[in-house]
Amino acid sequence: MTEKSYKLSFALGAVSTFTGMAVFYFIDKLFGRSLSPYLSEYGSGYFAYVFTATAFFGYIGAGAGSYAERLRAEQLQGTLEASLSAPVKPAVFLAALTAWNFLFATFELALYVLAGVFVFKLDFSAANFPALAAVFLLSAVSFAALGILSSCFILLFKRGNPAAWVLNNFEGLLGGVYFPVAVLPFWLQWFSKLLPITYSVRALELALHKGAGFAELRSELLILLFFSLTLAPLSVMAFKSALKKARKDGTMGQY
Amino acid sequence: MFWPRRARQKALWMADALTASEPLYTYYIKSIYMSAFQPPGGRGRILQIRGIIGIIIRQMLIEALNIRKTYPSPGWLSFFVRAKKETPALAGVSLSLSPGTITGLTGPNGAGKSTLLRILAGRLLPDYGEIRLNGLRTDDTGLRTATALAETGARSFYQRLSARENLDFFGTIYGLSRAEIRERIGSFAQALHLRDEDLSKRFDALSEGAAQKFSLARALLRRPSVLLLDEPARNLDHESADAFRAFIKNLAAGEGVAVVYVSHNPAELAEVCARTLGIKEGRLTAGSTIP
Repeated sequence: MTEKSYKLSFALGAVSTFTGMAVFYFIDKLFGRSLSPYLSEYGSGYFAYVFTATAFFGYIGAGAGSYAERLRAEQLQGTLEASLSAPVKPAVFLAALTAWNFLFATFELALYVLAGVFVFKLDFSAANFPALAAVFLLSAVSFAALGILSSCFILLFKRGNPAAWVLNNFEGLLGGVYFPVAVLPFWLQWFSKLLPITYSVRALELALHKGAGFAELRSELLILLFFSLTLAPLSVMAFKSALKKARKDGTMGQY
Repeated sequence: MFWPRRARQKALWMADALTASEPLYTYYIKSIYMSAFQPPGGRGRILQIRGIIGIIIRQMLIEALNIRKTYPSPGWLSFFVRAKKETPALAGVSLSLSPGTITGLTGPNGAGKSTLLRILAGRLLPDYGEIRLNGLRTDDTGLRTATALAETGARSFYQRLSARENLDFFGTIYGLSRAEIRERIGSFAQALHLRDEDLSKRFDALSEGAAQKFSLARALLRRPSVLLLDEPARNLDHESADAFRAFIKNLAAGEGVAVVYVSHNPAELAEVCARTLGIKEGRLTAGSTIP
């Protein structure tokens, strides 16, 4: 309800989707061929690669970033304590907190797909949709968990969120979103291996452009499953502990 | 098994003491144990029945036992947050609230009134002590379900939404349907002098008095067993304040809600409250009146 009240922001968010992609389209025209050796395993050109990775990262990033962002907004408005005084479980509260962000991200993703197909003439006919769905699901859970962990810092420290700083600054650089990870120096690629986005983007690109199935994506899917199963319960436990600490210290209403 | 007369008398005395304060399941276990040593004439069975009936008809009650609270300094977190020294707030407060009673609470600024209310509302965890609801030890989750707290200030509302949208939102997360929310607003709208035009206004466009009324309305939406009011009439005009006080008295008498009413105004406390407790430096003062 609050986001709808910012009507101009809502419209501008949709428009910026197209302008961002146009930049990469022209970069591909200028430099795309030089990345061909690194892109050959994905079976796509540079623009198709970055288009899908950016669309995916934007959607999944709504999970990582929106928890901390929404929690901070609730803190600043003073509604966090009043909302948490309701008999609602923390997991339900967290899901409801970011529901709008995910909804808007889905709308943006749909715009991306339509723009990709009808404006930029991308070809998604080789896509393996069941494998894609698995990649989306596991990535969403992993990133949601990272977002919840990030929100714990907001709950306790109010400002200064090291988790969000790491995620925002390094995922784009090291995760293979704007260029394949193979472009990075060997020693940096080791850091890429620690991030779930690396496996998500790789699996997404292979499933979408080469039609890779569950067998070909086995290692990426297993690693994403490991991230999901480890981070998800850990993040909910961390949030409950942070909530308890904030209630104990009496800082729930502070910002 | 034969019981001497004095032993039987002691057993009856113990059973009465147990049924006055024990939760149902522990009483039942003890009564089964006692019935193994049943005196002649089946008195053990009678004790069980009497105990169960006593517990069922016993009224709801909230008890706070030796509550202590000190706001901590961050300790190792001081590297990341602004450091501050520890602030003692409550130094061992015990009180009980019976249904249908309005208990006043007064004291100087910083005495611990708001801290006590927030602990009773389950929004703040005490360092020491326990709170019992219906004789059963309860945690903050149980308190948040049974109680409602109305504080002064409009900061806990969504400023860009209308008052009605705010009440709809909070009513929904409290588990109420739209129809229930409408019906409950209707039941206390007149008492709180809620105007239709205020309900439709954006919250940041409301006066302080109107915002205060909606804070009270939000607490009343839940129909709590225990209503905690932190200076509820502070920003209200005379008419609205009188109507509100009358409403609270009817609510306590008619629906059996236990109310804690914080105020600095002795006349207001005398008008509304059956008893008034004083609090100073985290302790109930010797000057408080407890019937």
